[in-house]
Amino acid sequence: MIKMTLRSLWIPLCALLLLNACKKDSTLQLNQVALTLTLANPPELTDAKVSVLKVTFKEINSGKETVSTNVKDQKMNISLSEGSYDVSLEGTVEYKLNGETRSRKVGALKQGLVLTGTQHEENLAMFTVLEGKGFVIQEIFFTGTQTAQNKPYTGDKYFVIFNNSAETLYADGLVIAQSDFLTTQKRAYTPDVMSQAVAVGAVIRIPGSGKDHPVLPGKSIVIADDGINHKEFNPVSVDLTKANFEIFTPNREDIDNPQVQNMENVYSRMVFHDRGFTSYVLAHFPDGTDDFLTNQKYDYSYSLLVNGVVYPMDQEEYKIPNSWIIDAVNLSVQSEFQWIVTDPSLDMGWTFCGKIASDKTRYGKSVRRKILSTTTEGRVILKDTNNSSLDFDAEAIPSLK
Amino acid sequence: MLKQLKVFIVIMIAGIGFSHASDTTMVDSLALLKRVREYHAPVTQFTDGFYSNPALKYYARNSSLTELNAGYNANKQGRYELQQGNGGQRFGFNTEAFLKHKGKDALWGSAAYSNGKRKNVRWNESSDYAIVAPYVMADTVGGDLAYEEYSFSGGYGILFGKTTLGITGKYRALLEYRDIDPRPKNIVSDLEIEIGASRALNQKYQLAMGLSARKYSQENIMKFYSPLGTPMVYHMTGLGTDNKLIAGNKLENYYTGSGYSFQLQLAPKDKIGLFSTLEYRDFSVEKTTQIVLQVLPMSELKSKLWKGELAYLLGDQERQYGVKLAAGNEQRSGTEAKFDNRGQDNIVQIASSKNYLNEQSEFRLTGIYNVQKEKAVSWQLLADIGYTADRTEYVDPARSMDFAAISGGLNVGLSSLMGKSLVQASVGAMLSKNTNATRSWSDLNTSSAVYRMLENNYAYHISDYQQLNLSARWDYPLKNGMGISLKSSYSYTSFDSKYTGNQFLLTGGITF
Repeated sequence: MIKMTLRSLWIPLCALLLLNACKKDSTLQLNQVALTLTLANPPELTDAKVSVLKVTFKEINSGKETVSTNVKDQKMNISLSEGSYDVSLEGTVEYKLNGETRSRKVGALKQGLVLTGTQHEENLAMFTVLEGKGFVIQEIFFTGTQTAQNKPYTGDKYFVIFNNSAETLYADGLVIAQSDFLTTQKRAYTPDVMSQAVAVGAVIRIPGSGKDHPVLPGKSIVIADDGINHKEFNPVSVDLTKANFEIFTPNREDIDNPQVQNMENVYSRMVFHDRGFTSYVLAHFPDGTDDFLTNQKYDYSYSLLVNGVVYPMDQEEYKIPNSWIIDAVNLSVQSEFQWIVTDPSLDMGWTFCGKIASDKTRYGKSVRRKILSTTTEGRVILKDTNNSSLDFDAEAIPSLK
Repeated sequence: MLKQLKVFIVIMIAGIGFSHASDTTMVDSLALLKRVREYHAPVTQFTDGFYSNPALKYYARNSSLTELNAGYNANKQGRYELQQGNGGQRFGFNTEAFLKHKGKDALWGSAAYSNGKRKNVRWNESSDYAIVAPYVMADTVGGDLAYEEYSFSGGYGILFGKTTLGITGKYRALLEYRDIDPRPKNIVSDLEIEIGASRALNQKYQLAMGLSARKYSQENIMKFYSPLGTPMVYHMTGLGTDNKLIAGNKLENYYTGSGYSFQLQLAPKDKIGLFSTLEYRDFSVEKTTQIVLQVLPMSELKSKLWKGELAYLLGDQERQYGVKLAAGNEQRSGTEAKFDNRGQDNIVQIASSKNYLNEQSEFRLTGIYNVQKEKAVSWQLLADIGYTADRTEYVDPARSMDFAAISGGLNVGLSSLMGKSLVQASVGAMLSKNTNATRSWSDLNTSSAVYRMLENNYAYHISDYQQLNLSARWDYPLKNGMGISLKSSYSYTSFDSKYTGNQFLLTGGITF
């Protein structure tokens, strides 16, 4: 009786156990989506045809990058796993101008392409890349430094503007503006003007009548937050007494070194975002600051969602038309990045110091534009492909250190 | 919460002592040392797993015993898994009691408190790694983690003719923290209730069935006090991968787990004959991460565990010998959410996929020869040989790790009455030899911190090692059926010429 019970109980149970132990679990799953990407040529080019092209798909959860160069009839077919993708395109197109075949660099950017299900079709509009041959932003030191007491030290931040051309240029009237929008906070701002202009929250201008501040080819000027020797207060900081200009805000607790010429405050107060959530543009106002202040107001609205309640918000700022912008640099951090706050034709990437908000490793680091080449005369040419991700060295040692 | 637990434990210990003391008329008839010998005999531990069902607990012991111990434990290892730390130290006290009213019922309980430190914990700021891995919050800083752990259990089994019914409840609370940046503060609560019923098949054998339900939670919150900011905090997803979108400073996690198990046993009342047990455990843990105004469902880890043991023990009251075959398999699979933050609604879940799989299997054959004398020297010989295998896969990026080992050991124990004292000692040796070792994480840069972490852990898992175990226990009876005990054990592990491990334990207590 007992033997019968044991057999009836144990044989099937042990078999079940062993079967389970030996079973290979093949249930790991990665759903694939068949993506068809249709490329649209820049509208200003006639009879354009892609000649060289590389599209990078970066899945933002895994960080995995998939690169494809297979384009046929302006279409790319690729299989990708489900996810959210930042899609960037670099390439060259051939087009006709006055009967001649010419080529032009093109770019495209699509952020947050969500792929789910089995199939997806998407259009990607290409734009022409106008590589800078004039002034460019060479360096932004926006993080400040760290004291021996492990406290943040501010006031030692700066911009470096570089003459990337072969001619002497004049910095008079050059404008540096800080974006009003954060790269870490995407909202539906209405009206949406990003394809025509950059919304700005602070604007400063280099004074001068037009020929007061020549900058030789391959040379640069420094615009300091406070143009003093910060090493006297923090030995690991920088000496900015030789800066060409400093940012000074009257009626505030701000340092004014009379030996360093002040920038003009055009709009609001320029305060570097020390975590690098704002972007910066270099521009020239064709009709002066009064025209800018009169005609470029940007009143926008957006919805603020708090605890499930939507609050309509209105704000008044300024915008700088894209056509006035000479150079643009988007800044962000990996953990918080949501979007670039310029049109991709100005800058389709972003650079950084630190990888998270309040990253303690960011202090004493800057973003510096890479060197593309040096001429036989020794003139340095900086890289400017309107993609800060590629053009800049992130987390670099500040040049004035 | 923890203060209430402390009070509860104190009350419970007092309660056990009181109830046992009131039962002295029964237990005085048995010499204390004889009962201690029964409880700590290797042959008892050899068969204990077959009596874990609360309906069989009654048959696990022939006598009643209560033990109250306080002890210190320290260990350090040269080879180790970074997420678990390289050792630690612990001070604690515990009490265990088993009260048997023959032919009627049995009552048992335990309570324990530990205060200790886990040292050099890296790439893991969550607690209970074995339960929540690989979905831990991590950083590259790490450090020592202090902890306080409370646990207690209690159960009751009662006989109704040929039927025995039993119930057991277990609760564990853990507080783990660090006082310097990064400062995790983890609070764990783990509750399991098990019920069982057994039926006498004949005069010798009991057939039992048990069911249990488990509820688990962990609050895993980290803070930084540095005015300069924070280091990168990762939300790991298996074999060194992490969710890049959630990485940064999202520091508030919650693990919620629940599960059930069933078990089936066939065991002899007199512990001689055929023993068998089969157990299935199903448990899942969901991890959520709290960010401003949002709760993100990060992952769900599902564990399915089968375990079976079959043993046959021959002999009589003075001599037993037998073998035990054990087999087990656990599959842990993880499903992870994918998010998008490029829209205007902060972070939105857009998809999920089963990316992670870990499978562990073990087969072990153990033999025992036990000679149990009343007054002369008793001795035991235990030998075992086993095979363990572990396989981990991650699907995107494709990474994998496989390793397996054959291990075996020999343990000799002596037990003797020396005057009024009972002295028990054992010496054992164990060898483990790796038989399979492959890994693939070719997408990683060899200079990256993640690569170094994976390589370190892999080296630990595939290490051959030899281990020497020594232990000794001394019991001395006092008046009124009470006694004192002192126990010490030492373990030395040699991984290879460079890495060793040491573990030391010293406890003292009273028995009655």
